Amino acid sequence: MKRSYSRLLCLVVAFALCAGMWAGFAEGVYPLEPTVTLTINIDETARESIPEWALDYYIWDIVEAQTGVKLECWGADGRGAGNTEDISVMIAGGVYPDIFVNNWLSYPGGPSKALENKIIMPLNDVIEEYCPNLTKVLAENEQWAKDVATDDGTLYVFPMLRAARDQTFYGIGYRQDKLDEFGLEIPTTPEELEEVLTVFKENGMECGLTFEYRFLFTGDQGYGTALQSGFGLKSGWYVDEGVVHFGEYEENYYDFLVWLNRLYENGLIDPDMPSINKATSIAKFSNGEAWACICQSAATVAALKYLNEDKGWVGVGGPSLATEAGAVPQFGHLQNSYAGNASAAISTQCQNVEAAARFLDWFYGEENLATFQHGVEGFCYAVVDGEYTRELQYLIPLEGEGADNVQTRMTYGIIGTNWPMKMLDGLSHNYYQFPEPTEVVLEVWRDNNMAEHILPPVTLTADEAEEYASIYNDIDTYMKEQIALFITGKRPLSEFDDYRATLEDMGVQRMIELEQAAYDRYLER
Amino acid sequence: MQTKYRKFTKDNIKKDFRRNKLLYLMILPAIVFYILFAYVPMIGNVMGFIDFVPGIGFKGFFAGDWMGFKYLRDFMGNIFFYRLLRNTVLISLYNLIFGFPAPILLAIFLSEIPFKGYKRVAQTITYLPHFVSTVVICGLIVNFSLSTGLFSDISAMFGGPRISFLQDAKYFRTIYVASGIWQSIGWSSIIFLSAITGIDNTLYEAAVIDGSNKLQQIMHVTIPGISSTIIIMFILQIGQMMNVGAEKIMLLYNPSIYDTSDVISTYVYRKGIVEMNWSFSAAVDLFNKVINFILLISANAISRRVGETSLM
Repeated sequence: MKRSYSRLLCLVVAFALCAGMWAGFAEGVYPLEPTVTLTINIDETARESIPEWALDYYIWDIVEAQTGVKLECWGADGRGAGNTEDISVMIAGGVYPDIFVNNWLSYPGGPSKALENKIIMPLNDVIEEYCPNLTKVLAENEQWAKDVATDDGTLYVFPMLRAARDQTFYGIGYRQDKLDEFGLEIPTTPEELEEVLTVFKENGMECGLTFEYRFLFTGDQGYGTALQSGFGLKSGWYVDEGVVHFGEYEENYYDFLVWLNRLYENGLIDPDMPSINKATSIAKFSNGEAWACICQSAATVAALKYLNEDKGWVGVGGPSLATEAGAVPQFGHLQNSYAGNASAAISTQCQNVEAAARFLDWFYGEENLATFQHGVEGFCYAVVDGEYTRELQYLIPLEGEGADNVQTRMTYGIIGTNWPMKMLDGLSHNYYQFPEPTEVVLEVWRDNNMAEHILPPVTLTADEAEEYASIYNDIDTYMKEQIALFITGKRPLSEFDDYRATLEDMGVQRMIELEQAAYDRYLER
Repeated sequence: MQTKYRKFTKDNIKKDFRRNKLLYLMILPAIVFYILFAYVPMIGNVMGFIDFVPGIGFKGFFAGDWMGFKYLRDFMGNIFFYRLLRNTVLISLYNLIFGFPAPILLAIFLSEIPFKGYKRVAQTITYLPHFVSTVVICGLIVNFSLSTGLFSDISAMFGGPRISFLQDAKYFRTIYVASGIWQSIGWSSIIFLSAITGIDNTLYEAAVIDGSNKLQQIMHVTIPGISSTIIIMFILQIGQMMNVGAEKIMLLYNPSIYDTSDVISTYVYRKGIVEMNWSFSAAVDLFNKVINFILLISANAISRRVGETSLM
């Protein structure tokens, strides 16, 4: 039985390879001849630890076969939020991989400084010469063309471009069954949320609205924006009618703090909020300790129903709060389509720039998208009646530990959502365990005006960036600390004006000035 | 006994070398270790005075502009300077006051236990935490300190309030120092225990004949007997004074208690590794090391004058 499948499988792979080669011959490029080895700073599963049943479908082997590029992975993975400690050490150390994956927008001094320091190379000529696919992608989308260059038009990166549907993934989750039990509506304003939490508390909720403290700040993408929206602002940078604002310096940030402090004092938010991490807060929501949560993933909210059917738990997504009932919420979680992360630059130490550029360009080719975003048909997806499905019954049966779990198969069979590429629309949708209900939650989280207020990926000049960094880093430390004190009531809110004055002393206005100038330049690109 | 050489003449050194070949060979790895990992990296301190340029390896030290004491001045003018210094000094001081005598007391108690089996078990239990990774220990502490954690449970059992200990700046130093003692008390007591075993038994017999009780024996025989060990350990401890370990604090702290928990080493870490402000953080770290060096030298000098025991 097994044997016949593996034969079938060989056929499938052979067919896929032929198709790949045919596509390559058509362009006369892929797979590259002779085979090239490139170094890259990603952390991929060591070959030895890939289970046998997955070996034939292992995505990096398929990519290698199709592109003719063998990757040598260095660890220090740059596909996460970027500028992690190990990348910082690697940059200081001075030995770089050929393909350097990082969030170059958050490099201190910005991409211009990274170019000036000769860590990465300008790519305008390279992309023009070797990268027809990326050129096409950028030519088709004006916004992207604007976003991925510096002010003077230098291209420096092979960007990860999120599709519209994948730009929002954080929001508030509630327990629908508890709302129903006490006859409550899903709250839409801060007052309503307070009321709901009060009722929850009176009826035995062990810990209040739970979230990780850093969610309140934009340095970490402002996951808690759904709350701040109720006060007409968001944390960190945002734009209002062409003027750049910094949320924590706004006067009405005071109202937000007063509200949050009241919630804290009354035990309506998790008393451990400042010291827990998101895993703990999600766990509290999933195990029933908390009935409301700021969630890192819509899937958690959606899954509640299916994982706890016996207990009758149901999760539901709540919208960003609005300043008054019936109003449209102005802010919410939204990531720029090009947010900088998981984007690949070519380092100055790269010996074979052409191969690196051609390799990275491969991922932007329309005909290649499906290969690495869906994997081999039958392994982690199947097409039934023209629709994608991940139900096990339609997939090739394989034997071995984990082979009967589609999520596990996917860890080997596809590249994942963090990779320099143009994402297929709704790609992450395919990764959810319960795609349909998750989509419902996301619908609610997306329903706000954030697109009008989002600050695009602006870049500062190297000099400005240095000044900006030195102001911003101190302000960042100071405000994160003070806001925690305000919320927990250790510093009286009457001192909010002193707090703002200190921010001014630290140069917050200069910082806003720099950001405004960068934004104005962005608009002129 | 070997002949003592009066002078460091070439001839004498050669002779000594030939005679003690094996001893020199044995110390060689240690010397290489110190050269490679303690002396060579000192060159990196130059980073604190230049605008370091990454990406060109060693040349980065010469490529940037000479900044002199700019970074040091920036640090001293920083609004966090006073707080960092205060926290570093206070945490070290508490560590010294409470953490230093603890293993000595434990060693004395252990040495007075007449039952051998019990003594062994007690010793093993006390030094076990030394072998548990700091990450694990801090994970335990963080969990125990939550408002739903063990400490709160205990407090609630006696009718006290439930407190999230790691969110209140005033508890941090206690948690840090107390857990530090728990972690290291057994391990550090080993050296004192061995010093106590080295005390001549006839001294105790003489003390008993003179009619002294247990406490008097400890005060007049045991402690004077191990005083030189105590002093050496104390000087070494002073040398570590400003070296408050960044790892443990980083695993325990959060922004709401920076006020008492943020120390120079954690600041250096955030500035240098996280924010990639290498030159600035190198300058701050050098500042820390210089203070440390001065403390070590002066403690050693004082001890030499007063107690005739010293490192050099």
